[in-house]
Amino acid sequence: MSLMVEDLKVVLQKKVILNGISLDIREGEFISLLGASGCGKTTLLKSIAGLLEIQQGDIRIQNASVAGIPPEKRGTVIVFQDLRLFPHMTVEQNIAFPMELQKVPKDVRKKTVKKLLEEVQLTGFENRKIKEISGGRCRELHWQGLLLQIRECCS
Amino acid sequence: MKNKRKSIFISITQFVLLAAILVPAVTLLLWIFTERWTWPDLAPQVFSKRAIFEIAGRKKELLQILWSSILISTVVAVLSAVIGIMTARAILLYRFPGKQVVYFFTILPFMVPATVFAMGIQITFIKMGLNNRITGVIIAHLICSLPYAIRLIMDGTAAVGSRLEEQARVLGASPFKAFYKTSLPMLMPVILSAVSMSYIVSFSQYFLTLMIGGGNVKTFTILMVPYLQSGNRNIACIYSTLFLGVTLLVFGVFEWAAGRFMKHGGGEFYTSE
Repeated sequence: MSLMVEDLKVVLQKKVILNGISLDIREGEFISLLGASGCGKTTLLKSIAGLLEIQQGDIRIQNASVAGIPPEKRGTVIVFQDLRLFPHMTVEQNIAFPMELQKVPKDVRKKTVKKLLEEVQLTGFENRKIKEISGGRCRELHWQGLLLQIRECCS
Repeated sequence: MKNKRKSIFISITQFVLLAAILVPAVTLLLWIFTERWTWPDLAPQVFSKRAIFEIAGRKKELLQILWSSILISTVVAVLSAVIGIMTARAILLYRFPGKQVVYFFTILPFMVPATVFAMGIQITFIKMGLNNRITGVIIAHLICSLPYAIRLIMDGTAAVGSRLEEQARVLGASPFKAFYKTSLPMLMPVILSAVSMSYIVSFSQYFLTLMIGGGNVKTFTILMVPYLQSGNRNIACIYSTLFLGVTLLVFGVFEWAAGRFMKHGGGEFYTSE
């Protein structure tokens, strides 16, 4: 998957957060974006994912502009700094959430969740609530749920 | 010693508060069966079931009015919650010109006295053809109950935020599905509180119902208030007890629903970070 950002400008609450940002990430490349706190890293990621409106420029995924395409149809996934697991759902429901949205049959969802939990040695945690598990395990779960979505997007 | 004094103070406060609720309630129940209770006697002199029989004779009409009141208040409560959710989300999660003005409008019904509001809205509703109609009464009640619903839901929405919806969106959920699957379950206890508050506000409206309904729309308060004013205490006490019972029942049902929801994991405003 390739990503291209051209002359991006993002304004939030009348304040220019990003201006003239351009980057080109080719297929297979792994990029780390570093910067001081508050410099706009999350704003850039949110703009790419379609969670924020852009005022100027273009974002191209696989050489096609995604301007105006809603986040759920862009195929981009963000791992937010603050773990955003759904507290009212169980571990199983959290991991299976993307599959549920794609209307994957229940038995397939169950099997996939079981396999993913085995990968991070969390078998038996399926029916636990998020608040019942430790922070480290939450992070592992968050990754498993997101990995599932990334695999779906890439397949 | 300090702790003992504190516990005595708490016990006295609890007793006073309990008495403040129980004494009027017991007096209300006593008056249903009281024919004569003159000063300075502490207990009623003559008991009778006259008021009960009188009400029982009008059971059909009373039940009809009670149902129509419950229906009006339920519609008002549900609409308040729906409009409240949308308004709270618009004010807190979206940017648009005139946001502060919209916020000010949401608290305006708190500031305008009900009588002033009723006079103004009656003229408007006559022009619009909504006077003397159930739709007009529902809209008028809605205007009164909305500030409570909006304020309650705004607090909940501010606590929940849009973080989980953003996560759901990038995982493939549409805007409505993201709200329905993540924010709505968390907001449910607040929404149920807003619904019960709006219900009570609507169920207790007298002057507004009288002005807008024009006697065509009869609610329980329209039936009850003339008895309270005329001094027919027995009948007034039966109506008041029924009013209290329905109110408590509604609160009970919503509390039960909220409790059930919390038990199933809803209403947790903060994720473990």
